Amino acid sequence: MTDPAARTDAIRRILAQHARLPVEAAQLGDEADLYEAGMTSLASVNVMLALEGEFDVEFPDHMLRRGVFQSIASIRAAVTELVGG
Amino acid sequence: MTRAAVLPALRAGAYGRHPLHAEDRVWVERNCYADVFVELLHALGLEPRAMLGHTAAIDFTGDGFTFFKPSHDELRDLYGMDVQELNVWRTPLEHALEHLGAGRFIATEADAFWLPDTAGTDYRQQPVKTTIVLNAVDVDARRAGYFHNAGYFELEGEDFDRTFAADARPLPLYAELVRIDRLVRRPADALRHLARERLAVHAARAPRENPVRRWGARFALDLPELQARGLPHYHRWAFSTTRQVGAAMELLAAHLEWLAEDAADAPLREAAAAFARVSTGAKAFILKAARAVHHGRPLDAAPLFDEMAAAWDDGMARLPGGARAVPA
Repeated sequence: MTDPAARTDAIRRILAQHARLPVEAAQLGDEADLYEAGMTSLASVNVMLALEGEFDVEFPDHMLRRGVFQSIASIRAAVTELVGG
Repeated sequence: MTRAAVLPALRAGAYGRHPLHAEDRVWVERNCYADVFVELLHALGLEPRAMLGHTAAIDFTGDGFTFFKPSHDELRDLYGMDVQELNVWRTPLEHALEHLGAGRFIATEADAFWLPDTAGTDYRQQPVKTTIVLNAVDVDARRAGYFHNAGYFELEGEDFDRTFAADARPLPLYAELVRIDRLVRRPADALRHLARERLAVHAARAPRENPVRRWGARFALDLPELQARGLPHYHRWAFSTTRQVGAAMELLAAHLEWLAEDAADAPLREAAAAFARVSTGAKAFILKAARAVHHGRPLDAAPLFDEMAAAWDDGMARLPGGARAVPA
């Protein structure tokens, strides 16, 4: 999956399933702060696991930070760094 | 009287959190009691970073780390805030109207099931004991304002009814009265001086054997069971272990940086940096261990625990009053 739009769609789908946001993931801007939107630390763990499954990657230790999962854009940048594209 | 508030001007939507709860922190929510007192002090115009030295004494006790919180002595000595158990013999609302009306907060156990600020975790999902600090109640409007975790919130309607229900539980909730009629607003340098003295006391209470190293040894033994019991169990375990120590170390670093703000105090800054490494290490670990539990894969966490344990030793050796030698 190298198409940025498809990758973004997959991230939104994972957020809809795992982030437990009180708003629709489809309505979030790419730069919107997911924690401010209501994603808890606990939910972010489940988001990380789902992302790893979806993109068949393992986030290295230096990416296991809160900021990496802060927005759709930051997640996409991290995934892109790992899978290329 | 059907309405009462200690700080009537507070509004949930307009509330500005203390920077300790900014979204760029490693851990935004630590534990309910410590978090709620950070925000209560902040709302009163006091400096919550002064009372964080107690985090130096956090210890590993086998199935968790000690649930760190500021002692009543700490709050009284630093700020003149008086916290004592409230003898709960009337209905929760009667107590609230009495004490909020007289300018006293009530810190009380509550069920997060009825606290709307926990949407996404517990709200309307599962009963969970937590601590809130009541600031305002309006019986006719069925509305209340309360501090919880990292902020100030409001609840209403059914949430109000259930939070203040007099007969919902077999035993009354544990509650504390928070008196602020003798608050002491110390100048920053005087507060630092006092906090520095107290830090030495807290450092002397710190565990004699490295708690992070003991935790790592226990984790290696516990991992198979954590994997067998799955993620929901893991999340509860991680709250009691990884989050408590990671959050305590971040708060300790913030305390030391605040103490060192007005002085060229290299050891304090170096200690802060060391404890911050424990905190960020714990953040990486909470995610790595979640992965190991989720997939049932082995995890050699020894290198990460070694790093965190060495950082704890390094930080402790630099604390004032600490008896430990700086490691080579």
